[in-house]
Amino acid sequence: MRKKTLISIILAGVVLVACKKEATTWSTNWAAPIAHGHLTINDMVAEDNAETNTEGYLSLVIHEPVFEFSLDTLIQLPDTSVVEKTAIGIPSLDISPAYVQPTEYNQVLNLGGIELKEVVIGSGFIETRLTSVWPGKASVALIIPEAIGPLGSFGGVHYFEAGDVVESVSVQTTDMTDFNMNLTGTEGLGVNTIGVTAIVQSDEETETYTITSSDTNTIGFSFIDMVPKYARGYFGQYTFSDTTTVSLSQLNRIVAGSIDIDSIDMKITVKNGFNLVAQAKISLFEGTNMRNGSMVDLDFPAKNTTMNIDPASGGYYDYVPSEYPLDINNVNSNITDFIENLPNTAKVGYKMDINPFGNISAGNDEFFPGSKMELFLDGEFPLSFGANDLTIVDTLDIEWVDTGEITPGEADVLLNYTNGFPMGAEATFYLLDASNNVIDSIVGNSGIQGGSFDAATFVTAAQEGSISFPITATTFENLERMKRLILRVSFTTDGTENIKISPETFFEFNLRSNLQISVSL
Amino acid sequence: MKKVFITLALVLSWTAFSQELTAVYEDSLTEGSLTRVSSFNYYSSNAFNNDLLDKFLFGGAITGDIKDQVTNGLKRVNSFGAEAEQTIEHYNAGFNPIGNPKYGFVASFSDNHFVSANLSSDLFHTVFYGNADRVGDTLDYSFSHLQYMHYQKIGIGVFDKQTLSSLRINYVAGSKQTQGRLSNSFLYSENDSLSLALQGAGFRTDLTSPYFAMQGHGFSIDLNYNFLFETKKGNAQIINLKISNLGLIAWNDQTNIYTIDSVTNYTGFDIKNFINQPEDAPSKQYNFLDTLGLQQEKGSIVSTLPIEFAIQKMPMRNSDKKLQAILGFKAILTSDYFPYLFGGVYYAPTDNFSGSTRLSYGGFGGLQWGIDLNYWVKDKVYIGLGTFDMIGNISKKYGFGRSVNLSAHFKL
Repeated sequence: MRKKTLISIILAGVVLVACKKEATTWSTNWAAPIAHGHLTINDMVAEDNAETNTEGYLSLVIHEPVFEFSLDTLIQLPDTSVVEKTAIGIPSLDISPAYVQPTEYNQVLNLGGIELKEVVIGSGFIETRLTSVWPGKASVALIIPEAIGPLGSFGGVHYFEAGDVVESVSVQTTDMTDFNMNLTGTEGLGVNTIGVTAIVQSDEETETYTITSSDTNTIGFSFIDMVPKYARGYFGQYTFSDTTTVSLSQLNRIVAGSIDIDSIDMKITVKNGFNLVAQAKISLFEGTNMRNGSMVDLDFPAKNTTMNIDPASGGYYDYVPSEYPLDINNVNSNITDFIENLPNTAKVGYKMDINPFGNISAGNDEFFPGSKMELFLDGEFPLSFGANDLTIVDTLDIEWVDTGEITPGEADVLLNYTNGFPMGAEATFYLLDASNNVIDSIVGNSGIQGGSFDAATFVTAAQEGSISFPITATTFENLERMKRLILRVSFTTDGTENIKISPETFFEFNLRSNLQISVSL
Repeated sequence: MKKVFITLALVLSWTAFSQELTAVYEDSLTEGSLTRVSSFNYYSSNAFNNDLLDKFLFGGAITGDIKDQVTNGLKRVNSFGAEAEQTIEHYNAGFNPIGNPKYGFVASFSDNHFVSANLSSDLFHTVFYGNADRVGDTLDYSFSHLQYMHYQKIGIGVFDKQTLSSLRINYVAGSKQTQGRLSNSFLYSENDSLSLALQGAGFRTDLTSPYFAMQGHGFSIDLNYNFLFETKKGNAQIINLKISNLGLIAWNDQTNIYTIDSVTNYTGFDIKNFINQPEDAPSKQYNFLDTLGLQQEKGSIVSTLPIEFAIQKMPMRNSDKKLQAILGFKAILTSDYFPYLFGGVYYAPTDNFSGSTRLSYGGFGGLQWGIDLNYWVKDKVYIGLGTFDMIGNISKKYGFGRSVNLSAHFKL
């Protein structure tokens, strides 16, 4: 009986201790900073893109190419193989050990409408493949005297065994980088022509052998990935014309509201980095706000006007592109209307003629290393504007991190700020699942109050404030399901007049959380 | 499942019987042998009541009331400790290992778990409440400590047949150990910043399984000395002196050794590090341990066993007095253990049954009340059952731990 009692007690102990029926849990509350910052315009845009203008407030400035192309797609040395067959012009010939026969010939390249006189190779290879059917040993020194590289002229000696039974083959590959190739041939008068010298010798020490007119040897060149970095010649006549639609992706994020802009000053410069004559014409510049279908056609003086683009000046090492500037501002164009329409697509129609008057350079068009035809934009956008519920939306891909034994319960995310910008903002976060369905949202208890703008001094009196973003336990559960986060912020400027942003304008904030965390062990 | 097996093994071992009951001196062992099995198990705290501790043992939500009640009782030093020692010993009077017929041979095996911890009040607050209600305040973690050891002892030695005093030398097989201690450490919270200072050191053996992980080797010496004397009135008395675990374990070179000495100021992410960055900027990765400056290396380390020292006046079974006084003192050389004092009475109404009760104070806990019951069968078999913490065994609110001791021996 006692034994049974003891065993019962022991088993009860086992059950009590070993079978922990549920996890040990408790709740904690944590206060921790999340983020902070003191932001000025220079933190939001690159330093080179913000300048203080003559009136003492900020302008956004742009100095960058917006469109460019090179002619390297036209001026090509395509991958090609050319083979020259050689045989003696008499029935037979005895080849003694002292036999030496130099030969010169022109190897013509087929380059379509381009007539090149000179190229400098940026990269690529030439493979030479020679065959011999002579019944004795022979050698061929193959040289292109006017193809001069860092170590001298292109060339090499090919040696052949007797090829009367099995054709003897010799192959060599040469890196052509930085080779300067004259393409005027052996006479110096041609185009697209390589002047080749081949010196044929017997390679026998004592034996003399006989060849006949039917013994045909070959000299072959293969161009492999040859890309010129400089070319001179006549590049041909070409016309490019197109109407293309450009997506203005940054403006895609604006989904509602309007802006009012004082002035914009732009200069688009057509730069020609080639030593050739060209003509250009912009026939269409149309911006469409796809959200409301509103379209504005940008008018400016040079529109639909054929512009003669002069050749670049200078030479290989010191070429200077020619420039053709187009001024576009709110006096000579409707650029403010164009921008205030908030276009998220632009349709551009253009035409460009290369060598519209033919070979007027007498075959001296030049393509320099790095030279290109480009549209370069110099723009000044004074930060003097009004915004009315201008709403910007950005979408972020989010991967929620598994928090393991720690489960967030509720949180109160607090934003304390000092806003020196004369703009207020309302922000809402939307949580999206894998199917892009909105499953929850996080909204502050108020918006960010804008500073008060003084139009006389351009000074904004900063506004301090605090916003609470309550996050419920349900929202935390939805955060785990969330795959994307949409941030929707709408801006409205202070007062009814356009505001101006001074260099000292700042937004300072401190984001912290009071987070309830449940621990489960 | 593994937990069930371990717990089963531990509890089944309680079917053995403990030398840690209020020991009763019986008689000499001049011939034959005696096999003793014992189980000594307790956990105890001077600050954390059973309401809280049970949630970790049996699961459940630690409510605000539980936390508040514990918080109200927190002290400067808030200790928690536990021991689980399962032992089998064999005394053989017929084998004289040192050639002296006065001494017999004793061999033993024991499996030992030892936990010793001390949480500062502020560390308890941080773990169970967080820091939200202490913004603008410093939470001091200094001198918090945690030690857990699991080891086995295989011992041989000699015993005095007359007094049952013994001296044993043990091979110690180290199974696993985790230890960490903070010195000057604190968390200071402000609305816009956190400052965390951590200074401390610790180590953790590499493997957490199997049960007998054999990650270290060592030795220890156990001395158990019974001093018999008579009072002026001619009453026989016995004083027992015990020094145990006088030894060390050398853990293998795969032991993870940690040191930290850092002050980390966290003000949240600076937004400037994320906006207006070049597209090819390297992605920023935040490694918490790197930020804290925790240094980790692999290496071997030597740690001492928890040395125990005890002296007590034992009751004698063969005394002609039915009522005897018991009292004693025990110390374990760890900073979390307070000197443990106890006193009580031993009552033997018959020759084959006795009981004792005692009050104690110190150790890892506070004031405790204990009861032991002893039963002999024809001087051949002894069975004992007891607890040092009866209040803890029956009360969640007023109890600060639990204790169960079992012991038995068989004379052959």
